[in-house]
Amino acid sequence: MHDHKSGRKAADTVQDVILLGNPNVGKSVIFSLLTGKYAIVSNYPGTTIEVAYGTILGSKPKTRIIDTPGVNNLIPMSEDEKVTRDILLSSPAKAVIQVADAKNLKRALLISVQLAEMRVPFVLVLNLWDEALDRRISIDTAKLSELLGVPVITTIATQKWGTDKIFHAIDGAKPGLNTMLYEKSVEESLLAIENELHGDFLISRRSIALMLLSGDVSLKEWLSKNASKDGIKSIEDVVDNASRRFSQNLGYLINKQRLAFVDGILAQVYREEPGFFSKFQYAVARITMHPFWGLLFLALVMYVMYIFVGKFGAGTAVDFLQNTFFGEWINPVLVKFCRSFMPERISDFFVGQYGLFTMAFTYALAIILPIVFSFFVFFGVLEDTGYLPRLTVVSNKIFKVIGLNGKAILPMVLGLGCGSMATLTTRILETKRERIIVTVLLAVGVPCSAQLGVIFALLSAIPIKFFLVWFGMIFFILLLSGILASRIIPGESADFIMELPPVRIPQMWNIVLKTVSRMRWYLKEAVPLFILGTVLLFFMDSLGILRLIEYAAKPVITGLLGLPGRTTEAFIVGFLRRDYGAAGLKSIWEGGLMTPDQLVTSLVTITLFVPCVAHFFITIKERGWRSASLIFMVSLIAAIAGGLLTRMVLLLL
Amino acid sequence: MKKEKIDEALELLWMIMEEGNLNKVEISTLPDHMGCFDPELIEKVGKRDTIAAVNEAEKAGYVVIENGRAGYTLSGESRARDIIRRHRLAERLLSDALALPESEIEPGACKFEHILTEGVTDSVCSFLGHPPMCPHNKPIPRGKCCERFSSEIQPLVIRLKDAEIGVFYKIIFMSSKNTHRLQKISGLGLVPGSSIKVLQRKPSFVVQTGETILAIDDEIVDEIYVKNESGKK
Repeated sequence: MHDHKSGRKAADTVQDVILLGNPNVGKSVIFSLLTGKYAIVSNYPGTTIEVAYGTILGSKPKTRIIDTPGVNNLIPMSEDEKVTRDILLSSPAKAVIQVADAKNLKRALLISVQLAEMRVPFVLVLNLWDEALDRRISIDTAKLSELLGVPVITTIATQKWGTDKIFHAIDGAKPGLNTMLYEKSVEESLLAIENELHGDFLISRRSIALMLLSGDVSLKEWLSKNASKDGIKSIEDVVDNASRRFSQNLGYLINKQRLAFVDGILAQVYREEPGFFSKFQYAVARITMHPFWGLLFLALVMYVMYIFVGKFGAGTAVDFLQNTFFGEWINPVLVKFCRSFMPERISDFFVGQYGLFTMAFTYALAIILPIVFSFFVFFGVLEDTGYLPRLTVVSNKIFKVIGLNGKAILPMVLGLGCGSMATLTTRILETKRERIIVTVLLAVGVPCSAQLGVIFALLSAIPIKFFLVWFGMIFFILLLSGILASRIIPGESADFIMELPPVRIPQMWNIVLKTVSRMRWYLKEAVPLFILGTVLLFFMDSLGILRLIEYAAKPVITGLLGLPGRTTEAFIVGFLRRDYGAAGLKSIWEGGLMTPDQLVTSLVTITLFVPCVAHFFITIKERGWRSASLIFMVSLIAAIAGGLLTRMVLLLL
Repeated sequence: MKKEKIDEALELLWMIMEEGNLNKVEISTLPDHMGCFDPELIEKVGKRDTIAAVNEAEKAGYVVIENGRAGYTLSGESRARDIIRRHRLAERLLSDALALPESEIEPGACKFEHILTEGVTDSVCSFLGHPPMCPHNKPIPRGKCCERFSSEIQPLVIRLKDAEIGVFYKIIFMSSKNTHRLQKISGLGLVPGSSIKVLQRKPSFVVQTGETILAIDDEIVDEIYVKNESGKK
């Protein structure tokens, strides 16, 4: 946060470079190129939800660069847009690099106009230049630079074309020409508000006045720190007066006039030759959004995922790693080695039933690693094609039933990757109500990749009817929780407005980088928890606590759900990591201790089981203690109810 | 002149009742300038011009006043509805079709409301595609023309949901009550004057503006009114 104490002169503060622009224009690619740090890059809006910081390679003195969530307007319409605007309000910037989608210049210029109004030095980077050329779009960059008064450069960031120019352009950044005038009565109101704003701000008073006049309520907190009580009162009066005088909403009116101004610039610099579209990509886009073919396409995607993640990742690869690599090569050697000189108690710690090597590492590296790897590869390809946002088109009507709209499918699908990351992504949803409902659904029943892989692998070994029971049950419980949540949680549903990126051919290199970065994250986060869980189990077992818990949980686990007592330990570690729990069930099943009925019941229960530690903490962070605890309880109840229901359904079948 | 004053009074009562969801209005609380009562004129003729006008309306049989509260008679209500309809259609005509600056719309509409005949009013309504809301997002009372499907007047403006697929249209206006929604879609480049093309209707509406492709709710599509940009496909 910016330090408001006076005496800190602008000259000796650390000055940042801020990357900013519309969603899905390549900010994160440029961030990675400038810093050498990989930020997750995908082909859909909202990939960057948290601000990323890095240092520009080779900058002297060291310059910090900030990657921000995409915005369509500097008057924020959602939580992630507010984050970006607040950075401009609070971080002294040496330069702003505005990244633009060259083929979508109009929307970029809507932001440029606002940056010019703020009087912050900036550079306009027209990225995706290749796509603009493909569409026979030409832009007179020299003229554009002259009209805006800032450097304009063209790049194709994914091919590193032109990106070296960005580094040099930073020094040439300057405040843009602020030539935009609004109609007379707006200007008068602006002046009146500006007169009430006193002090030094990082952005111009005019731009703050524009935000206030647009009715930007997210500025309230900032205002209470930066204006006197009387000042706020008179600002409110000016805004009230103005909004009474105008026939239209002021924010809308201001946007309209800005866009009209932008059209004036476009007319001078932008040419488009009509009649072009890429047939292949166009056809794919059509199919994925078709009411019938779209669903078939979705089924196909799911099937490919099942084959690649379930059969190959969780089947073939796990088989090899678990049974051959660890089972025959590594573990026997380790067991022999440990047993040869350690007393039994101590060697048990390493290679016993709950041993560090025989359980923690075998589970983490032999079972889960190949699954998440194959999932991340598959998911990365899916992300980069631009398919995910198109899912919203097909699913909008279904989500309306539970008080959400199609946009909600994005965090839900991401939840198949990792529930904790997906919970963060709920920020792309507009209303608090939607964020809560999706958070509940994620916690209750969206299985994460590793868990899903294990489940797929287990279910593929038994008749298909069991798979259908599992799937139907999860779907039913999710639908039910959604319907209940939308009835209980007050508020109205938000509009469905989703930007669809073009269908693109994924780039190998990005998939590799993305997978590597996610694997690294997985190893860092999951392995310590696997170790912790194993150590916990080891001590609970040796001290007899495990037996006690199993005994205490017996009425529920054995009585209600009809499962073997040993599954209790899978549920205990399931709280550390769900996939760990699922892997535990896998080994119980492989040990021949469960019937198919029991297996499916236990899988439904673990899928619906409480969120894992990481997921739980993120939920607390995003939603607060109370809601998170409530969500925890709800998923516990859902798990037991779901398990019981499954058991009864299977008895009937 | 007297007739116009009565119209003004009926209009004022309508606006207050609409806002507060009332069917009677306390006369003593009538504001001095609202609707078409010109603030500058009030300075000249004295403060309580509005009350005088309501009294005139009572004399003419359009209003009943009981215990200091005024309500419409049957004929008064129908007359008031027509005035409001003319006034708000005129606002739409001046702001959307003729794109006059803000400062000329209100005074213009205040004059139009007295002179349009029913036939002309219906023509304007059809021409604008039977808009449900005025630019202030107040409902425009429906006329006979709105219920008829066929119309001799070829509408200049149609709803986006009735637009042909794959043809470019120009947005004329958006009649949304939801200001958040308006600000949001305008940030994506959808404002009056933008070109827009429908790509598909089902399972969700997908539209294109410039190089931006958007999936949007049917109810938002319902609020967008467009005009054919002839020849551009």
